[in-house]
Amino acid sequence: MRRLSRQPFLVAMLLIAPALLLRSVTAAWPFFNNAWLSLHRSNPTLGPDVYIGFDNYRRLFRSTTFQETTEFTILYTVASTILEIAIGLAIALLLNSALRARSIGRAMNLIPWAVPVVVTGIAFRFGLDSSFGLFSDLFTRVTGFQVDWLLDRWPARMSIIFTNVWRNAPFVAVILLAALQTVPEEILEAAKIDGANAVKAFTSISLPLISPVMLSIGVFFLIWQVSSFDLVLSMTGGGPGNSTQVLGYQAYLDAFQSLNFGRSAAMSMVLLSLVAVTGLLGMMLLRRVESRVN
Amino acid sequence: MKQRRTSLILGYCAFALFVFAVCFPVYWIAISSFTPRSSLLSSPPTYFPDTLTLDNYRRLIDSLPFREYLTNSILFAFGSALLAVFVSFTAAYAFARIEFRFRNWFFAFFMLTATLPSIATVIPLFRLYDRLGLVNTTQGLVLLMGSAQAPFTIWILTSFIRQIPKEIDEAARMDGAGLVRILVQMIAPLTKPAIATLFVINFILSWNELFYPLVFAKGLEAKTMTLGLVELTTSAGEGSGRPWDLMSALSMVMVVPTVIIVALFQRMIVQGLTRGAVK
Repeated sequence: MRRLSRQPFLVAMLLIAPALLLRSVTAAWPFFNNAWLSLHRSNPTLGPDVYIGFDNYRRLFRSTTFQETTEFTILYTVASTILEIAIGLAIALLLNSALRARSIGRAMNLIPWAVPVVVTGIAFRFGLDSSFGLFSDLFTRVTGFQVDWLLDRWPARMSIIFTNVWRNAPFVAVILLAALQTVPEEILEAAKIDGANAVKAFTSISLPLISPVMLSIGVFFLIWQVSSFDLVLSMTGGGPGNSTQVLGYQAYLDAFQSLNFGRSAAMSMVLLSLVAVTGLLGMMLLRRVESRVN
Repeated sequence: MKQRRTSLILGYCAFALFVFAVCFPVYWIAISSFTPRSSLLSSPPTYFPDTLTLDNYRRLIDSLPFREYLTNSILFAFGSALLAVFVSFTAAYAFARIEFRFRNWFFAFFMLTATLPSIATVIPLFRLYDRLGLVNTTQGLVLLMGSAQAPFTIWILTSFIRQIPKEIDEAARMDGAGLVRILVQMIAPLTKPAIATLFVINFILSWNELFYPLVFAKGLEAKTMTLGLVELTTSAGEGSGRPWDLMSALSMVMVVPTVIIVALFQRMIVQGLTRGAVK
């Protein structure tokens, strides 16, 4: 009897072993090691690591650059995510309507996702150049305003958020479109017969039904975007000044250009705490929304 | 009736705007890559270039170690996708079919590791790779990327395998088929579409990946095209000093394959991506 209950465990372990080993060696172990490292002065040019307690963190929290970087990281992540969901929903609604061209639209949605982020960053960096960029020129022709997109603080911040939204909103639309298609047609028809117009039918039927999906992609995108930095690296390099710098890129620079491993490890732990807080809040909210829907 | 027509016209306008917004940046890279270098950084810019040339591509092949970067990108993307799908398939079978102790814990472990920012793991990994001689090798990069893709792949494959009727493996087991035979001869063929989809998704994601190559690729042996492109940006000076001719041509080389893959497998990819979020 005991052997029988133990065997499936062994078989299962055998099957998950390769993935488990990979994840343990390349994610779990280095994460704990990184947490430990953040309590050390660690720099390969200065000899062995020295335990210094929370000094790395203390120094970080006193630095105004770090504060600015953290603030922009949060702004970038939150603003991008909100815009991506709003615009993604608009695209999904457009493609869910009875337009003939919607199948073309569905294929289009995947293009910004399939273009390498690095390419997107560089295309927008050049496209927004105020003398020879096509996007900047088009903007000036349409609105009459001339803006140095990537040379001033706030225009640069807006540009990078906008570019990020260009890349991700269609991807969000793919998922929201699939969610909208699960809304039963009969209920929408019944609402129409009862005299509800399209807006009313959307806000009282479709929106509540897809809200758990919206919330979970929201959390997913917050978590994923807070640490991603390939767009910042390829588009602005964190500039002008420090105005579009994000924690992930700063941690990368600290580690692999300044070789200040301890400081970088502490910074990535701060980043991780943002992820953890977002994840926990997201899960609590999701539970509440789901219980209301069911 | 009239109201319907206005809303239809509005819909098409919005649709046109959407198509334009998606295509314009891609169009800008494409025309730049075919514009002669001399007229590339002109002010005001040209929307429809009158002379097209392949010179930028020719220079790209000559001036960069282009062939190495291309080969490395292909090996890296192919290897990572293959590794991720392979280790995830067996794990997904266990999660979908076997009742074992701590199953939910193991599953949660995989999902939790997926939320770890990779920047919070690379310093220890770099030191480890340094000791093992894996820095600047494609194999080392494949291990990292394949591993990073495993959680999502396990998640989606598990939900696909759950859909296959249990009776199929039970009948096979009655006939005396072992686990390996069930996996290879029954489950694998039945989940072929899902496996192919995840392979394609993982291939595109690795092809586009910058972070791991940025940290771990130091020379021609492992550098990918994404890294080559970033290095072009930082190589020359500011603004017009940058080799936009080479950069746009290299960008096209990176974009065209993924856009073709997306066009071919659109339906599959959408199914794979939405599987987790929408039941």
